Amino acid sequence: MFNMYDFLNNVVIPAIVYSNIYALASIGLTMTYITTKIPSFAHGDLAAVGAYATFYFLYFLFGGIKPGSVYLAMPIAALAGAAVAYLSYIGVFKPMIRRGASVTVLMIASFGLHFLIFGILAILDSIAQTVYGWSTRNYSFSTGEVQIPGLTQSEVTAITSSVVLLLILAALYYLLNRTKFGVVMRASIDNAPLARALGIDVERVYAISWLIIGAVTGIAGIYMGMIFPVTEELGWLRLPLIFVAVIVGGLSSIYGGVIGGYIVGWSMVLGFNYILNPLNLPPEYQLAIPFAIVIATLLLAPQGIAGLIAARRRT
Amino acid sequence: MPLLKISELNAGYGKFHVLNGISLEVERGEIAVLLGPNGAGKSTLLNAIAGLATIYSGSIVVDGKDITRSSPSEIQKIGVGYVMQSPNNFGTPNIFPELTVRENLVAASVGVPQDAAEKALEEALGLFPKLKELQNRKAKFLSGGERQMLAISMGLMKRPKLLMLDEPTAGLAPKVASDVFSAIRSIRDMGITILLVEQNARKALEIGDRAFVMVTGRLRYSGPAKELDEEKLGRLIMGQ
Repeated sequence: MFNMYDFLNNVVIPAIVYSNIYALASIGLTMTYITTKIPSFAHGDLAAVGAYATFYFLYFLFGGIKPGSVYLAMPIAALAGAAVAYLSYIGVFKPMIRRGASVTVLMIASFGLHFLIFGILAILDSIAQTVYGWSTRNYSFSTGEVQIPGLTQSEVTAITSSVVLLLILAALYYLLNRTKFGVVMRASIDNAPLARALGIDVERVYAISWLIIGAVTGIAGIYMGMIFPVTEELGWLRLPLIFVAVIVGGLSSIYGGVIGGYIVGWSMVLGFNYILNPLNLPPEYQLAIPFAIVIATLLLAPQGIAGLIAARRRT
Repeated sequence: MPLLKISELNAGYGKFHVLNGISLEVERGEIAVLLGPNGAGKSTLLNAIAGLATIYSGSIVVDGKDITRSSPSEIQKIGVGYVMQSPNNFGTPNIFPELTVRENLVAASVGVPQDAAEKALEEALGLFPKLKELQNRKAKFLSGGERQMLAISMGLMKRPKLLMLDEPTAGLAPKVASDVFSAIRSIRDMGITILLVEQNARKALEIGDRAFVMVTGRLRYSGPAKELDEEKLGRLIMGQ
């Protein structure tokens, strides 16, 4: 018999949390693609950077993670993600693009960058363990979530992650549509040669875009750390599904990517509860469902959700 | 002192050499017409002035300032506006298709103080009243003529001293092309010097004060537009 309480706790709440995590992470990856056309394999590492920055900040400040404290660290996670993303663009991608590197070369470079960030995080992790005695591996931020009487931690995370996602989307909407910088940024994405001819410093615009990409993905890292164990692989292990969200979303639209994130989140949770569980299949198969969706998307509507919306507007 | 002075310019793209020893002068307040067959290097010359081509030797001076090694944004600040051909050498249109008409004009006003940008925007919309009606429409939904009007308006947003127009009537119906030529005259009457690359030689020579003819990257004619007709132009192009 249908039980509303079970449905909320086993399906709706986890689906919202997963969806928000993938939606937040897909915003940055979509922006990476629409600005510099890089399918970056180092994107997930920006989330790991955000998570580790949160951990170190809270340990320095409080000696541990206290209820609600992750929100104090959110600006630090955003700053750390932004700094690493900016350096990635300025130090690796921009010089390669200037030399005419192809998308394949940039993609391979992003692999290298992933291992570099991964290695630096591992070294810092090792220092934190030996010097301060902190056990940073497999940590969870769930204890850092705010506590609201009568609500479980998952329910609170579903609310807070939704609020954060909505605030970020509203801020991005305002930036892109209501400010001169937003217009210039969209112009640089739409037609970079013309933007350059008009005197727009397109590379500077892209560099600022990478700051935004890193900041949003750094924040996504905090929410990843509430659900998944914090390790150097925190973002790397989520990257395939972030790519699924971005591809299903249509690659060209931030909002398409967010919808793609929601499709990934809901398909995983619904698939787990209504396909895998009844068939007694192990939860590892959960990943197969979003990938089946991306294959169907590529076969039936390769332009993704953003493309379908654009086509509908044209008719 | 001429507004634009080019001396012994050799330029191209990377290792692809296009322009050979180009020297020319354009006086203030005149319409200078640059004619020649496809592949003559007309667009490359405009790209070189705009800072978008590789310059190997020679010099470009605008309003007494040497801009030979300046960046596109510095050149814009000195007072050079550029309306690229559509599609241009880079294969893109001369507008931002995904932005509205108004946003296209805002993007073209980068570096202009807010008050001056607002004023320039109103002036641009005043020059082409049709654009005012369409200001909230995405540029990709405009007709060919409306797109050219928008592109020219974008070139005016920084109140340039020199406005370079690369084939602004290409692909337009005769009536629309005629409107564009009228607009070019109006822009000259605003005190802006114009360097016009045009395939419609007869109409261009009608409105032009000075003419240049280029063939295979070299200048074959430099003189008053009145002294050049289609027959003489044909002979110059054929190398006679």
